[in-house]
Amino acid sequence: MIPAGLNATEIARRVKSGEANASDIADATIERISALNPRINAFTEITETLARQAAGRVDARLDSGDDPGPLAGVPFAVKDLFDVAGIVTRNGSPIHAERDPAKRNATVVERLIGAGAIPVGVLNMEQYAYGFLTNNEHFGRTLNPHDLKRTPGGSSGGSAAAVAAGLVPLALGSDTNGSIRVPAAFCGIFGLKPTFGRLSRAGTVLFVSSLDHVGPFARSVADLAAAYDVMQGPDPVDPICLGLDPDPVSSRLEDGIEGLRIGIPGGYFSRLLDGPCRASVAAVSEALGAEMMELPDCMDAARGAAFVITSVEAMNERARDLRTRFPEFDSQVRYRFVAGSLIPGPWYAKAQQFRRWFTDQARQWFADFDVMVFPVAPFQAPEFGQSEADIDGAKVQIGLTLGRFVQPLALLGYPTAVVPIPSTTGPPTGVQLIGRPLEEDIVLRAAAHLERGGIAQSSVASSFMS
Amino acid sequence: MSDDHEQTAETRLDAYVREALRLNGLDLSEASVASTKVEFQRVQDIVEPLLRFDLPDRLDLAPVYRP
Repeated sequence: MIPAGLNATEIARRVKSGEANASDIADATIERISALNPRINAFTEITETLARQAAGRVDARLDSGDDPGPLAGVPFAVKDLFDVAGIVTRNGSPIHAERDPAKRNATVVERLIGAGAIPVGVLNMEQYAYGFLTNNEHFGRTLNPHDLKRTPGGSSGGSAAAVAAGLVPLALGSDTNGSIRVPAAFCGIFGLKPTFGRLSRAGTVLFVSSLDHVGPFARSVADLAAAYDVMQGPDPVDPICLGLDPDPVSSRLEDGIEGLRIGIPGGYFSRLLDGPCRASVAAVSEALGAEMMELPDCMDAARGAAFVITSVEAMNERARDLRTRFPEFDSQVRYRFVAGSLIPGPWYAKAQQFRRWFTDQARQWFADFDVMVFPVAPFQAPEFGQSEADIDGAKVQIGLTLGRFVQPLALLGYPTAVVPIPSTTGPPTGVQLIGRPLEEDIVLRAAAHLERGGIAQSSVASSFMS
Repeated sequence: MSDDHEQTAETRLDAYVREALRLNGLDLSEASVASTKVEFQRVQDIVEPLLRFDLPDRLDLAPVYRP
């Protein structure tokens, strides 16, 4: 029997040591998903045959004395914009659902399978990855395992909910303006948005080409690092992927934070933050010995730039379908795309100029600091249908404020780990740890320090423990 | 005066939205045009700090193509 809350690295250890076999783990995982997924609607497809085939290969390799890889027998699932060979990549859309099955795996999916991991299914998402709630009108909304009335966040809500419910120890998502970071925080799990271009996007459906990242969700830092390590490497078919050899980080997680200089910005990032989220940032800041610092007063402009780039590039990706199949777009999503077609060219050019200036500024901030601490969201996961949140006695519109801490930073493409912080008043919160480009090891060291100290904690949501 | 000004802005927005939709080949119902205007107004509000932001001269765009 495989306990529900077993993490990826522990599953791999048991499989490689012979304490468990991959086929039994695949069967138990599929059984658990089949039983519990109807409560949260995280999965849109269970890839039972693929899972059993992959598990069989792992067991066969072990039987013949081969090393099946560092993720031997680890079940994983992917957001419905990653190609899985033989499965239709639906991108949360009935239009994409009509397309042919993928001929091959996305590069990162292929690398996980090559490392011994078992693909068990495909996960729900906001349609076209355009939104923070995972309230998909065609495939249903995904519910937060910590409180079924609440959103798991989005757009990778199915990925985060599946990990938080213990249906899988590992899932893949994508982050354009916060779509890994927000769901990780709302569902109380760890998430990693690596440096822009560090992981291949080949075989994924793009949303906003110049901002899209892919990355893992897990319930431990070691699991995040293990997945990240096997997914790295150059990919000649992805023009964005950096041509860098893998730089494994797993062996450095225990190095601690000694010698690291950690900053916490005030100003914009300390305003419009409710009590539990403020407390989480303070706890992380104290545990890391962060120093207060000031950033230039430009975050509203940065958010505007991210918004313009998103609107224009997203529209470009979907223009043909919008012209011919407009009614089939989700009602919350279609006007976001259409508005992108109205944005004047000079706005887009200025947004890209701003991005240049902003990244130059960021290089200066990070000349003084190795890691910086930011909130993820201004409030805990809202309930579906909730339009306002209460911050310090003032009502704020959720739709206008949810992304205020993640969208400006999306422009940078810097590596970001989200650490989950439990709350005594409601669902979990999360905090962003951001480092210099290609220094994923540093942000994960800081995350691991918080995990060892008990500040950052992730476990299967209590009502899914059985 | 104020009402006239608002009406002019509303008229301009309406004309801009309709022409841009036409140029983009998007043939939408009146209800959808109205919803598009609301969404575009929301975008304008969020983008306004960017448009006001003074940037240095001679600044390249971020995604400079490298052959």
